[in-house]
Amino acid sequence: MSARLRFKRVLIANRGEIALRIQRACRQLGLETVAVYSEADAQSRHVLEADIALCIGPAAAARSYLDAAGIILAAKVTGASAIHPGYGFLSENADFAEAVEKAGITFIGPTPDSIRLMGDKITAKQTMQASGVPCVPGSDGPLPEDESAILELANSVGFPVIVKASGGGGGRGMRVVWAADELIKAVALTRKEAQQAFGNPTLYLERFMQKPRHIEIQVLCDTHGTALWLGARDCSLQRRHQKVLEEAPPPGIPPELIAEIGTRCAQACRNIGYRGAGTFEFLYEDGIFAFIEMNTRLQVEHPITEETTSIDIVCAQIEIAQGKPLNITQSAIQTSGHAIECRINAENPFTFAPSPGPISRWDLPGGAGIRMDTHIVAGSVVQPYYDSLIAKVIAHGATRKEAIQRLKVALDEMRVATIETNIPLHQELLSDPDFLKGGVDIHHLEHLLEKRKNPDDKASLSTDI
Amino acid sequence: MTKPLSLPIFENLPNAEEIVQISQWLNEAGLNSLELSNAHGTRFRICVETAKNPAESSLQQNIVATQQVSTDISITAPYFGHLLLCNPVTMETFAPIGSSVCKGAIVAILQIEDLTLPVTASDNGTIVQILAKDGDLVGYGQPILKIQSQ
Repeated sequence: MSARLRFKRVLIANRGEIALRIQRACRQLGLETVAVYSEADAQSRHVLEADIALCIGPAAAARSYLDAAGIILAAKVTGASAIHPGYGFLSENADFAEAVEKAGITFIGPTPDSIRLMGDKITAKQTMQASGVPCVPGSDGPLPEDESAILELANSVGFPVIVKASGGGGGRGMRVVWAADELIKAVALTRKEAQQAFGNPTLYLERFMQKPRHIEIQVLCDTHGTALWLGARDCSLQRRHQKVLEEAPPPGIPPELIAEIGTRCAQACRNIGYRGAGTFEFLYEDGIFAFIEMNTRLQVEHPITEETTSIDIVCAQIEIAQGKPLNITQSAIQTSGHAIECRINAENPFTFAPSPGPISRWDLPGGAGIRMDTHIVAGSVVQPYYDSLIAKVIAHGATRKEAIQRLKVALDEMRVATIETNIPLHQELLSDPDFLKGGVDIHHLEHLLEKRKNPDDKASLSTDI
Repeated sequence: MTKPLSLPIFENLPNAEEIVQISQWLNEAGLNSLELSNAHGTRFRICVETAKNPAESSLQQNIVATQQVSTDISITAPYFGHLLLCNPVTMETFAPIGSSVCKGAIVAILQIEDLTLPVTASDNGTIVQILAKDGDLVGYGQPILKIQSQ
């Protein structure tokens, strides 16, 4: 029984599985919930189960889940004194976070300044470099004029390198250089192009990562100076930059290396006064970590970290927002076993066309090590207006092999009608020899899908006009 | 919770002459009241007593004459907020059961903190049912009144 709480009623500014996930955490902490929803989600499970439910607009997200002013007013009229933004929608909108706090409501997330700092890729990278978080190795500034100096720099970075125009963007004004003997010619050419295209001949150079993996570090920081890192996740299986399957810990990366990066991430958080949960995203190749960006919010794949560390990240977010200290030390955080999450989407497993509509059958798996995060019940209708994520199947095992085995059985047990889901794709992935070996790169799934389309692998060689 | 707004401060209230001028402006603008309030709960309100508009009642008779088919239509909340079925100034019910309303007429008000938003009739007709209670927190799209269009 805590005598003084900053808030007793939390407004959940989101929908779907994450809204239900947050509601559960609030309930476990003895807090009341307010569900704000669009007309399309009136029958959604978290809405029906909320202490107070308020329809705030029509299906279009711009007039409901993205209506920042409306959501703050909704908190006022329902007496909610905290807002949890979930992921997506307004979760990384610094102006929203600021408006929430100005209205005297607690924002369950980082400060608006942190969100802003990390929202800009340049300031984010500079901040991380200053804190000793490794970024893509490169020239760290404009390329010199002197040819031998350029060559020396490229050699120290390591080939292949990518030469980029400082004023460039959108994939223009850049050239990959595979070997030292091509470098000087390539720099001259890119410099000329950069001058012509952007009126600025300034170039810089970075190591070109060809087959990187996507590795990310979860952090949790309270307002009393404690910043913890909760292990790493491997989210390399992606299609069109959308994560499909994630696992923790990343297979094949030495734990000491992850610990070193994690320690630096936690230090960076202390340096910027970060508050709440966050994720540092990295590209990883040949033993090198390179920071890409920081997500200043809860991530879809947070459950695999919860399973391997036994820390409830959403409850921790709420307790931090209440002003409580994290009652755990870094040395007490251990990674136990292996966890894998499959994102179940309402879509055709081959064409990826969305498959909205009513769900008439929804048989869920169970058993040791299986967790289901979903807002769907039999009779639910998958709305066409939003993201197609309908469930996350999370398997935890003592070993990676056991987690895979449990996940396979779980997916086989799932019965969903009459919408289509990507369960068959996950089943295929869980039997893919490269995935079973572990450590595939971020292009692996796209290559696999390409191969599936052209099984003889000749079509891609044919000359199309 | 501290509210940042403490304006207006109401130190200098308008005199009788100025109030007459303000009410004239209100009349010209087709408004029947003006209200200022600050975070301390201080309110200043000027309301103009309006005579029944003769044009309005003849319009209603016209409608009765030209439309024969009658259907029930729900008037729904255009946003969310606390429902006010009575005019907070005159304390009169906007649209009691049995009253006739014209399309666009105010039938209720939504109070959202310091904001008020009118709920207007979507058609001409007679109020046949009130579906929500005064003071209720209503959501977007929630039916508030039923009118029978004539």
